[in-house]
Amino acid sequence: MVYNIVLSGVGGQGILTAAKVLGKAAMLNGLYGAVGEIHGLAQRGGSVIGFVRISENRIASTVPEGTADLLIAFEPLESLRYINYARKGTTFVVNEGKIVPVSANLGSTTYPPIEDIHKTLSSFGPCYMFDATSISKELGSTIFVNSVMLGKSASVLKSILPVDCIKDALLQSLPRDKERNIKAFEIGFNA
Amino acid sequence: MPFLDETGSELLLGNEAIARGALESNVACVSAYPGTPSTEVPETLSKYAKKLGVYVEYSTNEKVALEVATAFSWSNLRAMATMKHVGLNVASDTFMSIAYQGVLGGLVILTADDPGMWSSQNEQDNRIYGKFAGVPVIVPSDPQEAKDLTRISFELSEFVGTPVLMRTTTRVSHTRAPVTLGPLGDDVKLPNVRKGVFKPDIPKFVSLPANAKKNHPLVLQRLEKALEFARVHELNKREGFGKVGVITQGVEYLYVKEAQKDLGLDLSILKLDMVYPLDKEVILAFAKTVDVILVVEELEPFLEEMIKAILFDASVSIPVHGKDVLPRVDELGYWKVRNALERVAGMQITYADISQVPQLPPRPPVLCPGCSHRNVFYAIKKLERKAVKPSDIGCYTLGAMDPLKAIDTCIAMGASVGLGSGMAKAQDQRVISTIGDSTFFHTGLPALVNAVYNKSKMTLIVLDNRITAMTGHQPNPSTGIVADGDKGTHLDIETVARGLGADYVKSVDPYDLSALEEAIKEANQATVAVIVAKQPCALIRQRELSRRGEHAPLYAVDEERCTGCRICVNMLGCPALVFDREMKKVHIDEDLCAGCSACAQVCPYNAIYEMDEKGSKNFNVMRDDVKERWQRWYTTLF
Repeated sequence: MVYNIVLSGVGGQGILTAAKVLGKAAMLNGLYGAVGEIHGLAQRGGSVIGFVRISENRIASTVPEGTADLLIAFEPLESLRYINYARKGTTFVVNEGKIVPVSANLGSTTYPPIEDIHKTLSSFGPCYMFDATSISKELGSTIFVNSVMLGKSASVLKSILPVDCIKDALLQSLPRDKERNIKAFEIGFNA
Repeated sequence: MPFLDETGSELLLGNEAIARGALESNVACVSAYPGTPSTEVPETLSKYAKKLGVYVEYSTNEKVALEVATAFSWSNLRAMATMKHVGLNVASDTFMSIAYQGVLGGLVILTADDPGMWSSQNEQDNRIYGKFAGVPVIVPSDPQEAKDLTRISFELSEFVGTPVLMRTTTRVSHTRAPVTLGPLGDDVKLPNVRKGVFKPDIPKFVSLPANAKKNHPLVLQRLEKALEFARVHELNKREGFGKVGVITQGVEYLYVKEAQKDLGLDLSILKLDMVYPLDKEVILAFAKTVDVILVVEELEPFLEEMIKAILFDASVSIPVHGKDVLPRVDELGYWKVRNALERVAGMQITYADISQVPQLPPRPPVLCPGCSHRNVFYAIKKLERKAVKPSDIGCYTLGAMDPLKAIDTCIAMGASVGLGSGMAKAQDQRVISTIGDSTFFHTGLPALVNAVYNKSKMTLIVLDNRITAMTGHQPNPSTGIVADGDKGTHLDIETVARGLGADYVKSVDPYDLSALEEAIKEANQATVAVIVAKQPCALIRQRELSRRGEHAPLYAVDEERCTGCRICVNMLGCPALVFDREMKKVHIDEDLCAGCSACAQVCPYNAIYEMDEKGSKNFNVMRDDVKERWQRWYTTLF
């Protein structure tokens, strides 16, 4: 069994932290979790991609193109940007909260409508789009977006990883504010 | 503290596993200059340095880092120096010499290569450095091997008496996977840094020509001894009995295994943990059992050429494939390796079903909101469009991106100053170079001396954010804090520049745009001018303010005053400025805004105001108390 997860979003959203949590959850579940990270040029604002591969044996951390089982996008545009990793049947968990790239502000390009993004993703497989940013803000800050996204992803991953494993892994990786993060996780799970 | 546990497994980054391997090897010193993808090795150790008997140092550059590690080795203690691939270019002068001179305590040099150039200016293949210098090269394929082979590298280094080059790639250094922990070295658990003893040995340690002449044959003898070590420790592993042979190494091995499984192929695989020197006997024995060989390696045909030479000398004529079926540029991956295997095994090629990515607004890396580098680029662009603008390696290389476009060149660490010095002689336009604080200390210093000495008319702007930011905030001489968190000596760049003889030196706060512009104008009167733009990294400041329960002021746009001219957006390109196409107004994303006020200063209609505590609008954004606040941010953060 190999289960391929691609995570994408914007630098600063906590994509690599979420990837680490899923890798840790796989390990807690007695599986091999390989997490692939790319540390880009800037600390904030650039497009970011991370991989998690869950397997029985050791495996490279890079998800081959056209083989993702699950694509978790923390920002709508960043789901389309990595559509080359999707295949027929890929499941999508996408945060609707937009972060407009500088290039779209400068007027050289336009941000595609959310409905179009949803339509494209749905042509591959099931697509769960919801506003994780607003949920997170209601809890006090956008920093809970990754816990909300992990919660929603946990509901998709039920047959691969028990929810409690993911929650434990999340708890272990939180330096502070465990309560609100777990709340964010649970709201995401039920979203 | 799971990282320091002595049993069980942990999910570790390849680099954390190397740090862990060094601790299990009883290392006494780890010295480094940070660089992606190598940084997490010293970064991990710096967190524990105070509790452990290990000296961890951020050196000013890779050459110095290697010299510091060599000092420990020559004092009979184990040491490691870590760097990114291009860092070894800087350290190479010392590296080539110590290869002749040899080591006492085990000395391992980590070079973290970056095939695919995820965060580098080139993708040079540093295995070649091992061959060039005559030192063994060890290559792990995943975090577990990264830890285990770190231990092996120390043993190899001491058994042979040579430095050992351990070479990872981004996909090994930045993969996180389960790693089985072993016991920590006994001396590592002592609370104090160990001291060795240096015993002079002039023929060994003084590389006078006469001594070097005697040392060169030793290099070759050590390589023979390394082969012996590799045989005993089974560093070259053979598996399978297929007639198609694959010789591989590193993460490429995992791609081969995955493709083999999916294709149901019967292969003979020779996996090399030591890729230099290559064991002739092992290669020939392997070649005898197969009909064809495919060499799977990223970048240069390093193994392929050596293997072909070995087979040629032994008159073995079987086909050897490599760079004829695999690309020589970029990293490899599952599909490239699978397709090469299919070709060599005479199978039908599987064309992967990969969807096209539509045309999307690009989202390249950008300078963070509140980054003071942006202000410097704004000022340069406004005042000196025609100037020649060499820049350097750091976050500020992003000054090349739209809409700033305020730098013309980036070559290598410190090159902004050397190139600027030359541009002053080579052409007639004004020269304005930009460099960060860490890069200034790394290799900017000798070039600034050169500019002063040769009277090269140039302005150097040091973007002093008091941290090595791009690699994740490591301290440097401008921070004044050392690797374990203790206070070191803070070197003030203004004082340094004066000492070096620059004839105009001025510190300015880049948040104050008019002061910055004034300095850039004044500097043109001097021969060598150095402007130190002092403002701490906005990310560090935001983090620190939130820790103190404070926050930077919020700025907002007055919709009635905003004409939608987009001067703020087009001149600054700050991610917090969002242009609403329908309303034809700009608004500030308050989640992103870091309160620097650059947009408020740039706005020709004075439409951007500071929101005070009571929520009222303050359009006077350049008050004395604001300047004092900035000053406080610079002085009290470190």
